[in-house]
Amino acid sequence: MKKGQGNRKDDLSAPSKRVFPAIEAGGRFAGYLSVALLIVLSVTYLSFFGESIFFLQENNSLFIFSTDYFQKFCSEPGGLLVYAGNFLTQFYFSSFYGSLIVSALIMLAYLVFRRINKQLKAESSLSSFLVLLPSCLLLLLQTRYDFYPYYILGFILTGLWFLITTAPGKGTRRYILTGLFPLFYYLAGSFALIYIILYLVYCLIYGKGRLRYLLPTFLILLSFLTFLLFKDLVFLQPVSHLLFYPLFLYEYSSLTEYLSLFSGVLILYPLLIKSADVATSKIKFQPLFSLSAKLVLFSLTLFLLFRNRDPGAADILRIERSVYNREWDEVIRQYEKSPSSNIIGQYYYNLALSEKGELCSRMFYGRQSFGSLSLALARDDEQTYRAIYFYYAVGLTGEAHHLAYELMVQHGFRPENIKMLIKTELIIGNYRIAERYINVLKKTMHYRKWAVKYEKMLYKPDLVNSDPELGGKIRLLPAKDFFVVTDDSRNVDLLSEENPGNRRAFEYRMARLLLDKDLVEIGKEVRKFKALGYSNFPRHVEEAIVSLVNVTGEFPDLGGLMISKDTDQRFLRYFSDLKSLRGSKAQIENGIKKADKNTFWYYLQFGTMKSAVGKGGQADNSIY
Amino acid sequence: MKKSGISERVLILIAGIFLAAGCRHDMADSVSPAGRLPVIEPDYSGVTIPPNIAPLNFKISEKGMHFRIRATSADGTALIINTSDAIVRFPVKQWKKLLDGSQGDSLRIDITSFEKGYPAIKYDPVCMIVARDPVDPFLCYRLLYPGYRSWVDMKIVQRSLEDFGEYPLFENQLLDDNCVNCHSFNKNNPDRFLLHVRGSKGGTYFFDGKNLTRTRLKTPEMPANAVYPAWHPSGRYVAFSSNKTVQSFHMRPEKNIEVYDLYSSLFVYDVERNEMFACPEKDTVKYMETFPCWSPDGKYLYFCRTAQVKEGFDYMKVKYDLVRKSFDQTEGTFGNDEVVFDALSLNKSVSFPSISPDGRYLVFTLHDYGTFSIWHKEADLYLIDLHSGKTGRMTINSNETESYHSWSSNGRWLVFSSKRGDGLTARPYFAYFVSPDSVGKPFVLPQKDPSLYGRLEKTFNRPEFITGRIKAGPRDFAAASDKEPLKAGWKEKTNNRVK
Repeated sequence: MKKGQGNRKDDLSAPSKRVFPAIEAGGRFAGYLSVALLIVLSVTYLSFFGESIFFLQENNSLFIFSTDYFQKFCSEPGGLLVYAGNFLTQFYFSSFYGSLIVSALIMLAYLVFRRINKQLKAESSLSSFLVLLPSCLLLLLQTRYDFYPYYILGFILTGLWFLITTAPGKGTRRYILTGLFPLFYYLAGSFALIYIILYLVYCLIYGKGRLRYLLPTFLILLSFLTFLLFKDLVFLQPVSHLLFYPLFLYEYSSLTEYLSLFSGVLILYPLLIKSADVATSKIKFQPLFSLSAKLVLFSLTLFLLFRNRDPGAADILRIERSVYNREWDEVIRQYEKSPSSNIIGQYYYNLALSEKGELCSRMFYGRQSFGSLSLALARDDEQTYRAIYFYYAVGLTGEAHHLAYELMVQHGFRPENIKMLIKTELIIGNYRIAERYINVLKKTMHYRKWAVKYEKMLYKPDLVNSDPELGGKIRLLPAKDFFVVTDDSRNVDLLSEENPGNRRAFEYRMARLLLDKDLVEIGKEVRKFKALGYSNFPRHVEEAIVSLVNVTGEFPDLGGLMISKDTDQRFLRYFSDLKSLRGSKAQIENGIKKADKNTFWYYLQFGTMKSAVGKGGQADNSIY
Repeated sequence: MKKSGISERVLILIAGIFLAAGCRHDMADSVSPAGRLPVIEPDYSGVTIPPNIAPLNFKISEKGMHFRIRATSADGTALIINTSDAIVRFPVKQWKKLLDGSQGDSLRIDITSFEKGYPAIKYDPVCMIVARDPVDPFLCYRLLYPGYRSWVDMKIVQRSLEDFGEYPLFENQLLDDNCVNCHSFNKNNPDRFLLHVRGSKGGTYFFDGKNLTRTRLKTPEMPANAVYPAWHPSGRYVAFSSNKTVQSFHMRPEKNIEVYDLYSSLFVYDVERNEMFACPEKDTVKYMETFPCWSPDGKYLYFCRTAQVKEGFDYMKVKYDLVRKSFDQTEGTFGNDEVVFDALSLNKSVSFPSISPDGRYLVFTLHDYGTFSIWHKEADLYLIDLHSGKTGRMTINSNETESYHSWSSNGRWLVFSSKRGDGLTARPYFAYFVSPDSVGKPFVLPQKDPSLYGRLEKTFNRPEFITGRIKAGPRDFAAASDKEPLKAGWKEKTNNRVK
């Protein structure tokens, strides 16, 4: 018997069939063309439309080049897979790099399945179509925001392990390779479940002789023993974690269904290949059939790629990216260009205006359909990481720090929470703690430069004070202490009381009154503007004063400031323009001039406020 | 043959490199004295250490490409360590020899730094005083993030003080990520302890050396869950306080969190009868009582007490006094309250009373107001001589928070939480105690990697000495949590004031 031929009786590999070289070469060419098309499709689509996905995923993890970080992933099966995935995710700061990485992984998946086809001796034309199926499905899954690279790595690793353990060989070699299952389980975690079933399916379909039953029995026993060993001796993890991590991490996510579907395809792959061989053996024009099938697959993939796109979410994430980069002009430009009906978009718009000091003079240039709810987001699990920026902007640095810390505890370090921790610790003057976080961030690839910039401020209060961003926040701090409450309008009021010079907080208060259409209260507040250093009223406040005068016929105490003539003229123009328009609200909305629409008057007349969406009630703050 | 020849040459080359590196310091032409102590982290200079402590590894924060460390015991045993990364790690066995040879005397560490082109610098020797009294071999503490409300992973670990062995006692991921707190030992005994778990697997878990029993102590008569346990030395009773505790967040940067009680009362659990009973007040004034602590003879229950707060109270005006009441352990009845330390008159507040095993000294934490000293930067440890009543601030305090503390079984060592490192995370510090006037300079729990504290975000909570390793682990807790909890009964005590 030749070396490597194996025992024919016990051989599990599929029988070989002779193929004509010309057909083989043509098939290979078609295969290359298909995969080239797939890669072009992947790179192009992800480069153009994957930006928001890459941005979100990159911001949901922070890969740290340190032993401590590595060790965290060693303590559970599948941890190293997630570690490898996080390593790749750090390059997602660029959608181009991201698209290259994902495309490379999809290519790798294709190669693994191609090799599996070869090992299964798949010869039907349909099998060349089937080999593309997993890659196309992976590309489709990549349109999801929660589909991280470690999933693809897990599937690839499962395929590779299947290839290794089913490679032709003698019984002893097979037992040894199958006996390495504990290693695979440690590396792949719950992907091992897929492998076990895949292996069983394979053995039942392709197995021959005694090994057909002995190897699956051996694997089942070994996996059972491995699980017990891991559970009772090696890893301090609950049973559910040992069984389902990292594949089925989210219990109630629709991703679980998609992952299950893909796992099903993987598990049944040997059966599909076998069935394809049988089913297509009687088809006369196999190349044509194969080509048609591939065309259908590509068309369907293309269709679903665009169907799965969520431009609204992409817009929000694009704005969010600008918020993270503190590109306030860009946030304002993006929002005014494509106003969002989403509260997050409106919140970011108001935040950007506040950071620019233009909240009360520009807020009605953009859509305001959530009323004062869009000034601060609820501090619930979903929105906390976004809600932080309001507290930071207004001068409630303690609360921004508090929330950033809570997020760090819940999710580990993420770029934005550690950056917020560093900034707030520097503002507060806790340099030793800031240094610790800076040292962490310095061990990352993409944020090192950022960390070095702030490292220079350590133990140098003068430098912190003179920094436009941090110094500005120091001046917004309350002079006297108070406890933060769940009602953010109350927090702003308390901050205004404890730091009367905080214009940011005052403008937030005025913005709330404007959005609540509370003309009476606005009338009481306007006298404070001059004392706060304003030489004239912000545009929308003037508009509100004019409205108040128009409604009540009385002038409020303006505290020494005047209403500009321009505002009076604009008011007259607004009403004259409005008179010329007739019909429904929608018709007026379409017909009204932009200059008239971007006013408090328009908001006062036509603006509708949504109810308290997403605002939580009084939290129980009991700790025992 | 040829292959082995190459290997030989490679080995010689490697040996040469090592020798060259090792001899580098000898190439310095001269040695100049620094005239000061070297900066080492953690700062172990002048500390008093037990004769059975793990190696006090440290990091040298001085300039130098290479360092030579010579450790010399009092009996002349010497150990030389060369390092180029400024990290000094003592081999455990040789460290033990150094300690053995220095008992009752001091261990001297000479550090010399070498830099190319400059004369070597020799620093003043770092001396550590080695006491004759050993410390208990294990320390048990909770490891968690020092902040706010959230937690994910939380664990209680037992750490060998004689080496760097660290063994998990409790890991919350095995119990539905429940919160765990207040581990408490009866007289430092690893076979007699309890801890609380809050959440789906909630209850108080008692360990008797063999079995872990999950018990639900909260009865309808109690206002809230039982917390802050204190074992009666007989092992029959455990005193608790039942507190409604809330937290608020400060907006000025000086402080982070304020944790305070809205009400709290003392209760006692009779372990033998599985019954809870109240520790009622006779006074017409309604008080909040917390942090119970038994005297080692079991005749007194010490605790902290303040007047019951009313709605809209000013949290900064809540001041706890140190109070005690007598206890008849055969009857299970209490006597009248007597104030031991009137903190209110000093405009201060007391927390965490802890009495030395000989019953002579009581250490407590004193801070400006309230009950949760770990978030009070001004919190310091104070000592009362229970014989003379003399009270004084301990010399082991720092400018940062000193809070929870406990005694070793021989009463010679005190472990306490201190935030002196960074102002945020608490680390366990050990101080040698002979008398109020003779307390050694404290040292932080030594770590195998001395730079650990610089990057560890977690805090060490409630450090407690134990006289051996606990024979239970996370899986035992997981198994116990699956069983139905034993429910404590309630006993109405009508004669609580007979004494």
